[in-house]
Amino acid sequence: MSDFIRANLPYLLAGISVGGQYALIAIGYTMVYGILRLINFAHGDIFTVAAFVMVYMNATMPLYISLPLTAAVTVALGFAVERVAYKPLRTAPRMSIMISAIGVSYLLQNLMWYITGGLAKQYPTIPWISSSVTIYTATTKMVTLVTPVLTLLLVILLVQLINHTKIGMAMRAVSKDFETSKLMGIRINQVISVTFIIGSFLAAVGSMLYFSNYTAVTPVSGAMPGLKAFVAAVFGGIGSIPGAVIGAFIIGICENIIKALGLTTFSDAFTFALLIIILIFKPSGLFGEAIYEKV
Amino acid sequence: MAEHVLELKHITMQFGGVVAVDDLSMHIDQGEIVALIGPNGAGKTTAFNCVTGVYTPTSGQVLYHGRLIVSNRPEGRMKTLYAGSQKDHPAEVVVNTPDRITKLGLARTFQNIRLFKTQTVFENVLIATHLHRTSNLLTATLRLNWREEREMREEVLNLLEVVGLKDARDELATSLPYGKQRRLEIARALATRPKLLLLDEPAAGMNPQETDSLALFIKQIKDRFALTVFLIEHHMDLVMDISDRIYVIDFGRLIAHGAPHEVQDDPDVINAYLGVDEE
Amino acid sequence: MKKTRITLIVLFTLCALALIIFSLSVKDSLPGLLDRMDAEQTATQDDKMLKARDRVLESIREGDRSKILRNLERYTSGWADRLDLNGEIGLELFFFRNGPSLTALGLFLLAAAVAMALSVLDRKGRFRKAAPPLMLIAAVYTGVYILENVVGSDSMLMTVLEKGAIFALIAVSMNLLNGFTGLFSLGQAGFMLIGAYTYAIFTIETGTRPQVYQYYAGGLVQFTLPALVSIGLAGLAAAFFAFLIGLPVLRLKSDYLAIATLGFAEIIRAVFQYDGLGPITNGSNLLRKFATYDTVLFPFVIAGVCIALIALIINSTYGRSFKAIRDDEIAAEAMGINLFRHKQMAFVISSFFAGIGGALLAMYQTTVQAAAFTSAMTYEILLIVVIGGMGSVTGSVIASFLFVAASEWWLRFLDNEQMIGSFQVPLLRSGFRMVVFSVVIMAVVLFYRKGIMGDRELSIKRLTSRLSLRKGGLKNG
Repeated sequence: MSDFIRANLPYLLAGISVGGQYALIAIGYTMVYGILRLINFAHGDIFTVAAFVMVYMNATMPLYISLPLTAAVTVALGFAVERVAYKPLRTAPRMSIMISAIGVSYLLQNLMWYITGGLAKQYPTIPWISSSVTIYTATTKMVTLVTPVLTLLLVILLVQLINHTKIGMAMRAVSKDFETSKLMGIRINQVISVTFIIGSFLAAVGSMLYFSNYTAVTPVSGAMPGLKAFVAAVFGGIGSIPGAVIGAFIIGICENIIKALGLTTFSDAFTFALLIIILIFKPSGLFGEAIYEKV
Repeated sequence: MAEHVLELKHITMQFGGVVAVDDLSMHIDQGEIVALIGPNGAGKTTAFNCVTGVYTPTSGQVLYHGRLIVSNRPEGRMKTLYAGSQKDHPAEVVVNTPDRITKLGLARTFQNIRLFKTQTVFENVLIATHLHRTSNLLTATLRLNWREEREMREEVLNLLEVVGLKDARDELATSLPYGKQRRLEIARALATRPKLLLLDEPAAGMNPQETDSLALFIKQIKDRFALTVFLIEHHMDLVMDISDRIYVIDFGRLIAHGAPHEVQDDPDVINAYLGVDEE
Repeated sequence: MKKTRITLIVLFTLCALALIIFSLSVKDSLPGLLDRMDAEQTATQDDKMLKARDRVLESIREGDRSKILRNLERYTSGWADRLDLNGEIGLELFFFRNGPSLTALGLFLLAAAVAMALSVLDRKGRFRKAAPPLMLIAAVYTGVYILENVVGSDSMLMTVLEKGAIFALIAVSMNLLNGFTGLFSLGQAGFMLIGAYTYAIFTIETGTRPQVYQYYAGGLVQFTLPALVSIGLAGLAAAFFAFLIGLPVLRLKSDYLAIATLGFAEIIRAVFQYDGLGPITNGSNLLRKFATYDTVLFPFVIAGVCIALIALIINSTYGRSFKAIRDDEIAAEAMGINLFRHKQMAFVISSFFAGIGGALLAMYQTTVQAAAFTSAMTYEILLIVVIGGMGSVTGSVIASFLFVAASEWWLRFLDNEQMIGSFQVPLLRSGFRMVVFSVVIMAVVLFYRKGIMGDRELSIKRLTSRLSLRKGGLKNG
């Protein structure tokens, strides 16, 4: 028994940790979808950009400045993307906004490639969370333990914000009925901006945690976690925050179990197989609601 | 007794806890014009949607020429949530999608006009002939169906002539004035060669003159195409003018039915429309 | 009016016949021509010159046309001062050099004359309507053939044309789904991958298989199919996968199709690189040494035929139903259109042609690797569709050529550092081209949402009427 635990505990810990990181990205996807019915294809790239911002910031300034500044720059980027690429299309068909999101993703990827020259950049080590700890014979980085705690803390804060503040109430109203809440005098643009700001901030935190596990970043290294977080959001029922968090943890843990079984090649494919399976059996996801269309 | 063209048996439609249609039973006979009326939010369109397959009723049955086309009973979550007044539910479950119901010979129009926006008047009607095609993808692609295609186009032209839109055939459907868009919707429904025509508030948004000509128009096409007509309407003038029989519902429940003059004087109907005096 | 037409027809026919007869007649006349251009036999006195001439003669015996042309060029330009290259001989030489192009031009003129004659005879006017676009297409193909013979198939222009034609097919296939049926699918790269691999696997020659599948003992498939059959199979394989994915997903709201197809494309990419499938897919290694084409006309013809088929589908009763679904699903269903069946049809057809596009892309690249078929590839095709106009076949075709030309050719200079005098132009370095390119695309998406064509088609009639309108409009103020 203890052998079994000893062999598998590292995978389980890694799963929970990665799951937390996915959750932080997935919330961004799910909140934007809840409010704009938009699959924000650029969100994964914002996550990657956050990593590069961190790399370049850290080269010139101390950590206690570069960490908050990275978060601030990422938030500014998320805000700007919404204002420039999505806001002008608010009355356009929904497909146009999604295409615009794809265009932004394409632009950000090419921009990152241009700035880095396509080369991998070394990700800075953040003291303390990069240090090693040993729990019950399993040696791991501190970040593995910090991630789930920090994730849950942030999620609780977010839920409080949504349930108990005025802007949170506005967000709930807009996600229920866009048109009516506009008529009720809710400032739609403000709500949408706040949504993007929260999403980008969480993506920035997720990025810092995620890349602490790796030594280097490339322009494409954020694509896979971005996609998986997206799958997690769909799995949990897109539009639902608890759904996204639970979906992300399930995917993170399953992925590492598969790695433990020695099927590493399939850990990516598995995520998408899971997606197809959930779409077949419960298309609205674990916590999503079916919607009647008015005729 | 000849069988009814359309018969609704104990239809109940419930969304979550809201009972939109409650135990509605009615029937329509060959060659009749029957109207379903009621105040706003009475559940008229929902009843309509249960017949045309857009919604599956929570409980109840719809028969078309004696053939069961829709039948359902509360299942799953609805078993415990069910709040309708009907107690014994049909045993069978028959679910049909709107396209299959249209193929059986029931064609409909929409309350909030739903034309194919990017298509011309002619194309809008032409699309509705698609369900009678005998071609398959291959023969249609290689134009081996040219004879059928030509017949379809002629049929559509005839229809446009009947509804008086032949001159506007190449205009964009949405560029037509409102009244003509309504007519176009009816022409499109007729192109499916229906036996029963379901009109969802055909006079909505029309002025009195337009309404009058619409009444005439409905009678005309009814005779010309040997139709039975089932309509939902708010416009009392129109309903009283053309209907053979009228059903009145309020809060999803049938409160009266009969010939126009009978319904007109029914106290329940007057209450439903004008409100009950609490004293 | 009629008189000028008949004169034109006669003129065209005469020109065509002259071109064809003359270019065919000089086909085998080169040895005699060599004698005539060197009337005094100066070559016999100069060893080097003699050698050059013999090289030409030898390559004639070998029958390799490009080699003949190369050696001939060397001979005539090297000893131009001693050879008589003027007048009749020069003309004959020109005709020999450009023989195939001139024959093609002659055939085209002949076809044009026949078409004009038919439209004069045609009373009903049915043919007159179809003739101009058909002639335009014929002109494009003749033009491509002549260009290939003149500038050579390795030039940048030809590369752009090849890749443009292939992307045109893929873009049109995606437009069928996204633009005409209103289904947002992002699996194009996945279906192209299936097509490319299916094609490559079946056309590698049996003899070279051990070399290609060096890590997998020569691979599992030990037979070779003809190229055209394999292209068909490539389409069918992609269509089959589309059928399977469509079964659950097409019953759902259309957002889920985007998600599921995107996911599918990623799965398929991972699966094809899986070591366990190595005997078939060669794992994460390249597939190479499969059959390719040797003339630009091949992808042009295949893509052209496929695009024509898609256009025919779009204008058939099925295509009308697709457009109805795009405009209003609920109304379409109420008109008796089975939503699932028709969506499935559009999805399977689109994937079929994407598979064929993938096969052509494999032929163009001469090697295939699963890792290259990323979602960025799908995005590029989607952006082509948007630039051309959602719901316009000709728009997609035009945008494909523009897109390929811009990214491969016209904007290349942005990737190189440049000096103007001693001033280094800022920003220019590797990768800048794609940044500029994506900014341009974003501008189109945001400010020019309808793209080049909107949902209209390019029509000669509209084009000419617009031109004449502009002229007239200026006069009237």
